[in-house]
Amino acid sequence: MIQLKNITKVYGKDSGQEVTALKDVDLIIEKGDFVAIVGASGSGKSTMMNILGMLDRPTKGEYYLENREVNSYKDDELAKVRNKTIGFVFQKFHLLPKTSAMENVELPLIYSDRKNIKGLALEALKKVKLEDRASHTPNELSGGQQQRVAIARALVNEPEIILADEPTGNLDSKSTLEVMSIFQELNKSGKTIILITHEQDIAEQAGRVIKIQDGKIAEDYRNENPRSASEELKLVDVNE
Amino acid sequence: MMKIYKNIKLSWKALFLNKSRTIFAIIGISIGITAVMVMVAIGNGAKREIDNQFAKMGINLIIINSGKVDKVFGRAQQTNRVTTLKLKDAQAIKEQCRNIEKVMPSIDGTLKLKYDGISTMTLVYGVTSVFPEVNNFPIRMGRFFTDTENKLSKRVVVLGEEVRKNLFDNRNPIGETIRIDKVPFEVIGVLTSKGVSPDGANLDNKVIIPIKTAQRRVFNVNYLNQIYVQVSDQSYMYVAEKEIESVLRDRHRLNVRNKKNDFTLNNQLNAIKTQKESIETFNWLIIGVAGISLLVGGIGVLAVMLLSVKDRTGEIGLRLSIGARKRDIIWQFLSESLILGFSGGTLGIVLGLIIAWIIGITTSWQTYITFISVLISVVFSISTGLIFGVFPARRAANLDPIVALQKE
Repeated sequence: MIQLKNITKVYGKDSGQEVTALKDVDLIIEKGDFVAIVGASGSGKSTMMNILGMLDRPTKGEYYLENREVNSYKDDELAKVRNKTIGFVFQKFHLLPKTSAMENVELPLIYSDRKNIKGLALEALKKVKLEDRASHTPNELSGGQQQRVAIARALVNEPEIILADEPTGNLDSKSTLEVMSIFQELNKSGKTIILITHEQDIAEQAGRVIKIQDGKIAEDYRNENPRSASEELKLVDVNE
Repeated sequence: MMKIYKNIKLSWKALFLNKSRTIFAIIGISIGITAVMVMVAIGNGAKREIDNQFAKMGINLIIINSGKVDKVFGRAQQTNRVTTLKLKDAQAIKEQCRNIEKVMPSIDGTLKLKYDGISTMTLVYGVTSVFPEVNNFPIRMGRFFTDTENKLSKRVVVLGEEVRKNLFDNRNPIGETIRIDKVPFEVIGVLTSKGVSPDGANLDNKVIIPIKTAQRRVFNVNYLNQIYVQVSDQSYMYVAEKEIESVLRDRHRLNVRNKKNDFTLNNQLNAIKTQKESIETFNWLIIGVAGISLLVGGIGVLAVMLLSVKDRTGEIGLRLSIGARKRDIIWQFLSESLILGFSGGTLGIVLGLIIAWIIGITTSWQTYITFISVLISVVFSISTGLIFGVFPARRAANLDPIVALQKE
């Protein structure tokens, strides 16, 4: 599904102070994988995320998405891929302020030619169990709820891939489990999930862990038995 | 269609979130549009007024002035008055020139009028019996004097409306005797009111007497100040002018030593042209004011839109990352600035209509608003929104989504 070949990203070429964020990275992510990309800050994981999400182009190397080389895409085609194939989730949620959860979820649909915008948005809200908060604005929702709205927004166009950049970075432990259990469920239903994190804890809940260090893949292993976020959530609920 | 609706809804919302900013931008544009609307309304009113006045006078007149006519403070006035223009010249023009309907010699001067203890200074105008037709000045009351009365130098007078009002108020003036410079005259008629001429002279403040009476009994001269020539058709105007010039040069023996004309020919086509030219000047003034005020309004839009882009950098980054194309972002911000322009324009038109109306009823200026001026205002305000919105919109669309997303 995703294949990176010799991907290199160098910043600051013009200023002369070159920083190599990624060095000759090779990586294959299969359809249905749940990948956690782990690394310390400055390791190159954010660059990885930007390149995977097509927000940035590599300096060198090839990126195949469903067997098509991404460099051959024009700007408008990239916008279409970001709209239809990839769903983004951000650390800071990036919901529009003073705008209802429903309208926030509708946003990607505005840029596609889908019909039944309201119906699709409501369906996506149901998947994150927030259909009863549809008319609430972000400041009326908790952090966890806001991130769930953001996930609904990522889901609404039914993309193959969910790309989440530190999705739990701003959340408390209970909300983190809630969000993670949603990702695990989505993965079970067939979605490919790529999650960027610096927390080992989170990575243990993914099926595959890729560790990045100094712009290179230092480790790449599969968790035979990833921790179940929904099970842990039950325990938290019981304790409360 | 859905997209356009969504864009407009979105823009309204964004503008509504920053109410005061939005209101300032709208007011900025509307002031410009109001100014333009009011000025155009005044210009249109003046133009219509002039057209009406000339229509009243008829535009097939050639006016021969004795001596030279210069512009004094913008008004045509005789300078170097000479005594060479005679009644016989008028006669000769009538007999020798083609395509001429009527010829009316005239002499005028401001004299003291007296009736029943009231006296007033008034323009006394000596003409022939064709005056009501040549000057398109019908009689309202009584009658005009006849050719015979002129030939016999009868002391009869026709009053302008203003003079009648001053001397007689509500009484019937017909048959009364007034004194013009101590000479008694019988009032036989009153002219219809015509108001003020395009150059500001009060057309009703005068009295009309037979020219022969004027020459012999009032002014005691044998020359004329002016000859009015009515041409049978406007198209003969310039031909007739040439013929009149040659007849007069011949009669005044100006050709012998190649002297300059001792008379000045003026036709109303030229007069209208002059008036239209001054309107043209006014139109340039309007364009200047419009340009400056819309520039100011446009800069307001520019400022609001740049702030809006800056405030919403994060939102733009998000939109770009979830599939908005550059042109989607451009349209989002352009529709916002278009709404600013359109709202400002609408407000400006409404204010313009109100102010033009108030000026029309409270001052002597006529105001007149055409559909075209409303249309132009709408186009102007929308294009201001568009032109000054392009730069901020492009700036928004060209943001790097990665950088934009990091801004909060």
